[in-house]
Amino acid sequence: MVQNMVERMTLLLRGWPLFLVGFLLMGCEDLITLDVQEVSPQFVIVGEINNRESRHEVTIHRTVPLSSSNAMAPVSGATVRVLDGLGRFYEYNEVEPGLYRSRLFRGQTGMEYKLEIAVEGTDFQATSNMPEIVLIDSLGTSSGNFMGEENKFVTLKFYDPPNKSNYYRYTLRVNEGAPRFMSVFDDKYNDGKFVTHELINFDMKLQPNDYVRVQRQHIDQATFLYWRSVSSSNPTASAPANPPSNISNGALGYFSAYSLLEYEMTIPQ
Amino acid sequence: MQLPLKKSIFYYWSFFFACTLLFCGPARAAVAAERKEVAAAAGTAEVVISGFVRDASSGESLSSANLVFRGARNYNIATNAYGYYSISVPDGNYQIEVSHVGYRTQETTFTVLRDTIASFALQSLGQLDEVLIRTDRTEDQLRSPLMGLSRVAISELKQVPVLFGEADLLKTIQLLPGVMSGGEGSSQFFVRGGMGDQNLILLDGATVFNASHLFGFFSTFNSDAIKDVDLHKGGMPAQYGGRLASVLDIRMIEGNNKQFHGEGGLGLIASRLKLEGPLIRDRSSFMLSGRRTYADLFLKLSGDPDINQSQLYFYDLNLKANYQIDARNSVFLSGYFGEDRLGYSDLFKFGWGNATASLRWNHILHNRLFSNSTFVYSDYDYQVDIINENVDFVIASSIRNINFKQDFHHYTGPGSTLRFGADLRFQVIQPTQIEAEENSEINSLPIEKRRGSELAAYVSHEWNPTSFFSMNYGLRLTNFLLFGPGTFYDYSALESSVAASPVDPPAQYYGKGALVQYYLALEPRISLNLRLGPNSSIKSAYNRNSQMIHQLSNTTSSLPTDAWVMSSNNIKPQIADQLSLGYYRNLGNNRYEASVEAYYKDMKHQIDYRDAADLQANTHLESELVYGTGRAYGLEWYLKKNSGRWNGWISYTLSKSERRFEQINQGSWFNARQDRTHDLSAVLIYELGRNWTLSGTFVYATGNAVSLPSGKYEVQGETFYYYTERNGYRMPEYHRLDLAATYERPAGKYFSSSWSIGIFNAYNRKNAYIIDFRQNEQLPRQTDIYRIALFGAIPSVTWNFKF
Repeated sequence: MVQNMVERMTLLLRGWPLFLVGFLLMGCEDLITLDVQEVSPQFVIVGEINNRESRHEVTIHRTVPLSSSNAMAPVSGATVRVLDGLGRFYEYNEVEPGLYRSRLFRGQTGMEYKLEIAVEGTDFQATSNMPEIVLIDSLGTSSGNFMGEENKFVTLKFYDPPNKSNYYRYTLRVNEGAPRFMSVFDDKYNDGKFVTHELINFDMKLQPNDYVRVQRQHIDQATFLYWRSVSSSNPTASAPANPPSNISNGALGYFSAYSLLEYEMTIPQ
Repeated sequence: MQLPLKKSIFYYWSFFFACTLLFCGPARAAVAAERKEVAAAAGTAEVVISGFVRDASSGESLSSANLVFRGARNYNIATNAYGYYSISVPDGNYQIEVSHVGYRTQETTFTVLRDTIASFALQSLGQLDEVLIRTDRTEDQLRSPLMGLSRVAISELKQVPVLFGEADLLKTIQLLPGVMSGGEGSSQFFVRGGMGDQNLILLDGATVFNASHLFGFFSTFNSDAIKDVDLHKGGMPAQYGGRLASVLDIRMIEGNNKQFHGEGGLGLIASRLKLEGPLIRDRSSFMLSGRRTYADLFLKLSGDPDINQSQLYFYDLNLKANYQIDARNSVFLSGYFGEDRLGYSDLFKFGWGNATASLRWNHILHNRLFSNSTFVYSDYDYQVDIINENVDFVIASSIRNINFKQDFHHYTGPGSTLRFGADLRFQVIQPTQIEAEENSEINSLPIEKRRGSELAAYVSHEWNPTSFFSMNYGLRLTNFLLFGPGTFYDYSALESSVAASPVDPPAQYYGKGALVQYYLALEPRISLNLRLGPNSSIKSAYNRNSQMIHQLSNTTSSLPTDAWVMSSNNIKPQIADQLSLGYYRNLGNNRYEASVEAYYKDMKHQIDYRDAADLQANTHLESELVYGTGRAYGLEWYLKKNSGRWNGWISYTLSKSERRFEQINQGSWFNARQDRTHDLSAVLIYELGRNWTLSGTFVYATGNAVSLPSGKYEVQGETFYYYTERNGYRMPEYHRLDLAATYERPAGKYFSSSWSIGIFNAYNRKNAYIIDFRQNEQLPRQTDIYRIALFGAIPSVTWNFKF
């Protein structure tokens, strides 16, 4: 809740000139063409390990030019493996171009995982720690009127563990659609408090009777910084940049070991 | 090194007095020697003529008024910022000519046999006369050794068309060469490739930390209350310091000490009222000026309770009073208070503002020695209140300053003026922190205050040994101290380019008054003027500037929450060395003045941010910073027409500004965001008959250097954009035409009024404020690029009155 307030405030502050444009109806936007530099493509690596599923995935792609009609270019033929804190190796196999799946293993909280990739003569490495689970107290909805529009938000209430940095990430699936990233939180402002997380995404409007599944991920700091950077990116930043990656050798993306809780509910009237 | 507080204060004062004595002693000896020499050479006695130059109808002192003493030889002097002059000449007959822009030139013949006090009162010219017969004050630019100096006359300022019809000082100076606008509608400005926080903005000697209202659409300076403005962008004389790029020295009107007058205006966005008059006729006067916007009144019309409970306004208030105790002493009190209020529904209330107060004492110690003592208080703060069922908290930050300045002007001999003094400043910064109620859902997040002080001492000598050569050289010494109490962290071991709260950085606690960090900067300044003939001169200057306090901002718009930090064990003072060369020429019998200046500036210890930096309420804020270097160079052309029905100016700047940081852009040079290769401004004012004035402004600039994506990829079904080079792209070029017309109603005896109508962005150019990349909604694999413009054509109308 609080973080949302802070976020809302920051949003309003940063989006202020745009808000004024809307308010005074003076500005406008139009489609333009821009000469974009040709740059060499960069590797994009996304890997996740959790404590629920028994197989885990790593995707390896390359960026594509803005004008491309492809989302990105898959990278095949990589050697992918994960090493855990007890020295165990888990091999990954390519199941479709760019998608690598592990052999059977379940992630453990408190464990450190190290991702090692060798592809086209380049090595990439990343490590991530799987944080402990923090159970929630209750799940509900709240409604907010923001800029004249009535919105419903999923809210979770829980006790944040004191004297310890905790980071949370949420995804939401509405009516069996694809899971969508909602928000990330840290406990910078509410360490050890009874906390409310309100999942706000202005692109997504929840309707009464929508069936939603909330995934709550307990993530490490690097994953938090990655997703915070994604969610706070805005066009008035003086130097927009790529979200900070925890993977070596300049690869984009992230490697995250997280523990997971999943909840479901029907949005009330 | 730990010094108890008392000891450090003592240390300060001794330093202060030592400097003063040090400068005073040799100065006096030099004067005595020089006096004898001059007198002996001429076979005559040397006499001192001194006094003030004032406005005849209001009693306002006139700074930079020019006095020419024509005798066997000609002598020149200009009044200082407080209207005082003093000159030593051989005794004899003189024809004295006193002139000032906007005033009728006064000529008198004098026989001077002994030290004389001669004060002058100049008659101001009418509006029309002023443009038809301007004085020869443009001689100034040829005579003075100072360069990189622009003066803005308030009469000009009021004729330049601007956004919303509000005459705006900060937007008008953006039209000068070497000064760039901070963005569409913004009152922020960049000087010679510097950042916005590298400009020192002084209002009657008090530092103004946030010079904008409503996120920059208005400046905090109400033009009714301003008397004159100097902008130093290079070759700064030694009495100024503390910022790298420029000094904008704004002086407020003192108030008419002869008659009561009022002035005001009603506009679409804001209204203004100024009152001034004598407290004691000819001895004491006051000025009171206020302004408030009323955009929020329109919000009240909304049926939506969220909108009509919202707040959106600012006000500001300038006041000044003065008292001339006797012919040698006068005191001035001036103050500024301004506040912005922004509230959305009952969710949050946000207020920010500056307050400054200065008390000044002008004292003529001796007919050659003028003293100015100023005591200043300055404060900027902001506060956000968040009120909700289970969360009540306050986010707040402030910066407070107390400073004492002592300046001496010592008129040591013909063509020789020595200025020296000291500036002692105590500063407390409360970084953004959060205060929450005990039972609130969030924790209070207290952040330690930071206390520091700056002591500067300077000496400079302006010397005109011959009529074709003059120079101003000096030295400024700046001493910065950071004190406890507090815990100070050392982040020198951080290597990552990504921000992440460091785990247990080395920390040390310092007690109250203990010295944490100490910096000393020596800043030499020199400028030379070689007169090439009656109409032209060449000048060159070198100056070094240091900056002990820095503003952190990672957005393009200037936000009221952008934090100020002091130099510390992590942040080194910023240093700039600037070299400039200029050629000045007056044409057509001084009706035109033209100049071209070239500069090169080297900047050290510049500040940028790690990726994903968190600049709000962060104990480890300083761990988010990275340090690098900068360089800026350029050529500035300026042509101004001073008289005739047509007047105005054209300025064109060709420049480059770059930065280099090890952690950014693989350590190679990149363009600063405000690097604009071409920057052109033209201002044209036309007097159409007795009652109408037409004016127009045209600006053209290369687009800002920006970071735009060069590729894309998907993560979990969402499209992400791939950024490569920092500021490797350009925004589309910016251009705009503004027009205004003023109709002056024939003045009555006690009341006169005028109508101003204007149009900002007359040909409705859609200048890009933001370039936005989005995936097409129908074809989600296709990337569309949008240009978002802030303003189309905006009309304005203002009714102004005077009584």
